[in-house]
Amino acid sequence: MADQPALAVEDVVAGYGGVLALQGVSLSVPAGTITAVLGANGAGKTTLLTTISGFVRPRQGRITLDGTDLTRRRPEEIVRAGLAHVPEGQGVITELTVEENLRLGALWRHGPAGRTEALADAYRRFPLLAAARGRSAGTLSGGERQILVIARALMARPRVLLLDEPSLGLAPKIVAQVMGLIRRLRDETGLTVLLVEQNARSALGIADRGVVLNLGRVVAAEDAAALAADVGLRQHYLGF
Amino acid sequence: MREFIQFTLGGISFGMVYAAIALSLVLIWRGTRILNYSQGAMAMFTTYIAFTVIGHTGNYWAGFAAALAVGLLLGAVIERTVIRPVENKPPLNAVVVTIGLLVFLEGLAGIIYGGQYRSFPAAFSITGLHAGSLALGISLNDVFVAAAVLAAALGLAVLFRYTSAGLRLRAAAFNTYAARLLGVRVGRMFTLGWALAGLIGALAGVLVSPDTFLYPASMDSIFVLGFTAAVIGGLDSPVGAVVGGLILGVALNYVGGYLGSNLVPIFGLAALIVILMLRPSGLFATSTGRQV
Amino acid sequence: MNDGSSAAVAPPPPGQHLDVLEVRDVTVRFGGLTALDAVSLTAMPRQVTGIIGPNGAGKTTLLNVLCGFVRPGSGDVSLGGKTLTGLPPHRLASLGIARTLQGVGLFRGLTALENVMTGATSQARAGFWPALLGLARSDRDERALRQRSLAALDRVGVAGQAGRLPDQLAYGLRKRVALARALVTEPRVLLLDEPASGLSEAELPELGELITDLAEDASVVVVEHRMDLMMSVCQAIAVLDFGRLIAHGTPAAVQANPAVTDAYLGTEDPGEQEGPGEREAPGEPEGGRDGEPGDG
Repeated sequence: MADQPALAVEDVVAGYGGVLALQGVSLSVPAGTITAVLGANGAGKTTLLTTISGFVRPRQGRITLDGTDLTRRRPEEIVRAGLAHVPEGQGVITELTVEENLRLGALWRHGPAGRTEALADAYRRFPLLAAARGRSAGTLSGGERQILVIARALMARPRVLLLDEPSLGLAPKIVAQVMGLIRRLRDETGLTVLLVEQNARSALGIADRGVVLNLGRVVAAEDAAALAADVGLRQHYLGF
Repeated sequence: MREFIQFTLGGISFGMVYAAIALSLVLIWRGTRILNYSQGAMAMFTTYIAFTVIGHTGNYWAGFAAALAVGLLLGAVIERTVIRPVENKPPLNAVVVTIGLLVFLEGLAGIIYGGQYRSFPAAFSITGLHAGSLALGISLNDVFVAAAVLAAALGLAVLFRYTSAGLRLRAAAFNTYAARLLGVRVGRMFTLGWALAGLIGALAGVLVSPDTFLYPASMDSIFVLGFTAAVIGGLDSPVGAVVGGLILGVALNYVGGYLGSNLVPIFGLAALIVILMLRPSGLFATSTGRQV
Repeated sequence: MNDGSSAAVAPPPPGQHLDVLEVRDVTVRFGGLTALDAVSLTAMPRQVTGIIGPNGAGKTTLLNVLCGFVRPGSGDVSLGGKTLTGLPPHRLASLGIARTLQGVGLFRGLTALENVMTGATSQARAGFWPALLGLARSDRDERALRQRSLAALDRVGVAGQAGRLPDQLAYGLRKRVALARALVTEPRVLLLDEPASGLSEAELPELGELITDLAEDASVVVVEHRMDLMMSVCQAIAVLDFGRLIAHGTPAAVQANPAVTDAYLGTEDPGEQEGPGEREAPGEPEGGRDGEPGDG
């Protein structure tokens, strides 16, 4: 494993609309690990991810991917550096079919042969997508959409995957399946994951490390198991 | 009955020209949510280019190709320079810019070429065709017009459906945020959309100018009717653009034929008003569940 | 609730029982999604009632039901015994329900004072024609409206900004103008949607005092995420999760309730459940919170 973290965020201050959602956030994600970012609403979790992926410009601070500085680049360029971001609300393009969504994910990375191979890989790993390949993505259920957008993000073989609240709106059983999938991806492919979740316990169940944000600041950063056992977790999260 | 056939066929030919303008408008609207008021003027300008080339070379097809090439280029340049700054601003800004562009292009054409009506050659013979002894009311050129627009529409459909560029274009139009997250350079996609619209518009210009003669304002009424066709079909629907164009073309030809040609402009505008009042989203309006 | 004095010439002074806001078994479905599931709660007059819960719990939907934007599929809402369910928002406004919106929602082209005046137009007595024709009645109305609007701005401490445009005001001040706009109708029920969002730590105590002060004349219902604010300002807190009410009581009781912690942090060990996963096709995720299988 390289010494430098796959993803590093240093003292980032960012926000929009007159609101500073991040007030000096630092964290580092070692390669091949899952880091869970937790916290109540308004803590800045989503802003953290949109800042890393380039939609929000940090006012201060630095963001690096494998040592490469990505701080003021545009999302399209950051994606091409090897970062994939699955946004809150999933971002399924409902007007396209399942296959078109997947192909779209592969376009910048592969030539025609590579795309076909990547598509075959995706269908092998996710038979449910293969079964639905010609359907309009708008007809998929919540859990199916979540699988689709993760598979779509993986088409470009990213180094680091940012996931924003994958459990939102899903039944607990489906949440367990999605979390299991994320863990398997780390185990089998060495994928590095930064997972923003509201559901702290499921996220900590698969993560290596946990970071808690509260009002734009990091209030806890430790080994996931330790954090899950931490009596003060609720205090960090909710303030009481 | 004979007249009916003639009017119908003639209407189809004109209708295809409206369809072409409508297609350009739909392309730009779908991609960038802007209504391009200068679409007709751009087409007029590229037709003047064709006119110049034909004048120098004596070759119609050289002029035809030049118009299409310049249309492509003009669309791209306009988007990159003048439209890009207003893409994310309030819609009124884009309206002002495209109307300004319209005025600019017509003025420029007037300066360079003067205001007199020029005659523009047709690609093929304009003598009426006959089926046996029945005069069909259309010429070989009219058939070419319809075929050319249809070919262009089909070409676009193939582009969108089966190519990677088409996939990117659609993604950028449907969900810009998700597209950017997947590495699509949406700026380039918008430029491409405008370039294609410029191309289709240029096609409409050279196809219709033999009938309307060429002068700086020659595409104005064609634009209005093309816009009406786009609204009838639904601004989001390419299929609607073509169908809307055909419906309008045929309907107006009936008006012109049975009621008198001076009523055509009024009917065209009346059709626009009626459709905006009754079904502003158009006949092929799609809601959230768009089919591709 | 008839107290028998409805035949009197003057309306009875508002007593405690007249202003109780009652929500009974309200259920709201959007397609296959159950946003609210048989939620019942009561907001007492002159108290601050808080509504909290994780993302997607249904808090904003509940506010939308209370102010008339959304019609519940079943259940009802009443104020002082009078049924409010199904009434359109403008009627609810004239019955004394006022709401602030998430974000700020001021009209950019109007000054702060004019923005507040738009909140009170339902109380203008002169109608359309006097206004159009410039009759004296309309002028009097306008003056009265101005006075009331200035008073509302003063109540929230921004009377000095009355002539400014929203773009010229700091975020916190804009939020206060929006609050004044809700107050100008002297509502009986004030619904606040995330009033603390975007405010700094330093501005919170003042907001807390303001909310407490507002509760003297109305029932205040607040949806918020800032726990510190809620715990200090609310007399009662309702906790929603997945559209259901899972706790309702004093701040202390809610803090001690393990169901509340579970809702925010998640329940034990769902991550250990090895579902059939993605390799076995029949184990396809069913999705949807109410567990409905198959396509959406």
